[in-house]
Amino acid sequence: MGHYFILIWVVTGLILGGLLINHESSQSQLNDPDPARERPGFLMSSFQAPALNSELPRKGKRTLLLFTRDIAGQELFHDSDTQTDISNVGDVILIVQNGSKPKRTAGLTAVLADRDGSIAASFQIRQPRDGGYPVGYVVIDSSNVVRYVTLDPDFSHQTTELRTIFEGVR
Amino acid sequence: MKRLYLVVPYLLVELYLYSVYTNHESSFHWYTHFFIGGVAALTVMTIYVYRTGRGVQLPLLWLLLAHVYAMVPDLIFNFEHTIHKPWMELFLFHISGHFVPGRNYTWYAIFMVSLGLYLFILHKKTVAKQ
Repeated sequence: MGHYFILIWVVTGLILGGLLINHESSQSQLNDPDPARERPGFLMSSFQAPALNSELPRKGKRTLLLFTRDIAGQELFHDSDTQTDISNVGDVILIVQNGSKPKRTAGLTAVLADRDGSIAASFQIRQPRDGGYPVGYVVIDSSNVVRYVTLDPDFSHQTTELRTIFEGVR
Repeated sequence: MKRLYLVVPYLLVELYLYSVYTNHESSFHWYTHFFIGGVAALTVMTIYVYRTGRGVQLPLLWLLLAHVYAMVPDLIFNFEHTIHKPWMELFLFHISGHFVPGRNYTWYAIFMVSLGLYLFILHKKTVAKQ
């Protein structure tokens, strides 16, 4: 019977270990090298938001900054209603590395270029596995304090989560 | 041994939970809460076996319930659209558990030690004395 228990332990270890290694190695190059820091679900930041320009971010309003590399001719969100819904929560500013514009800009407060990555760096957004421009978002509260910073290569689909975080700040 | 058939529904439920997390691009979190829940359940079961000299009824159910307990803040996030708060640490360190050095590999190691200890105690206290 002791051998049976040893077999259970070995088989369990091999299966779980194999699954874990496979999972870790199949991460996208746009993901965070430290998966614990990607989309943690709690407000983990607290620093004054740097100015994007003389007007943004606006004090007194929650602000969502979306970062992406290229959006030329594409919809920002997979669901066409999301852009309108999220813009009802607060200001939504899209920051695109190559300066391209999405298919629709309705509901967006601004679309900014970030060719040298200085905006992303100023908001302390982490670098993805490939070392390139981050794809993710930052949430700023109405006092202009940054409360949430994360990579999220799939933010265009994870819109419920995005909205929950955005609505979770005051 | 007698209840080996219960492995199938247990695996099916865990597979379902894994698929839900994967659909949300969050399978990393499934692993974390699975391992932490497993460690908690195995620790309790080991103490029970050691103290009573009897095996636990439905050990896979204990593992599953502990996993689901560790997951509760994610259920609250998903269904109540409420972000994680510090008090959710009650659910087996739901937040801080993600940040241990070594991340899920560390929890995997701790889980395997816990499982090994549980099986060893179970063998010593129940099977070996027969």
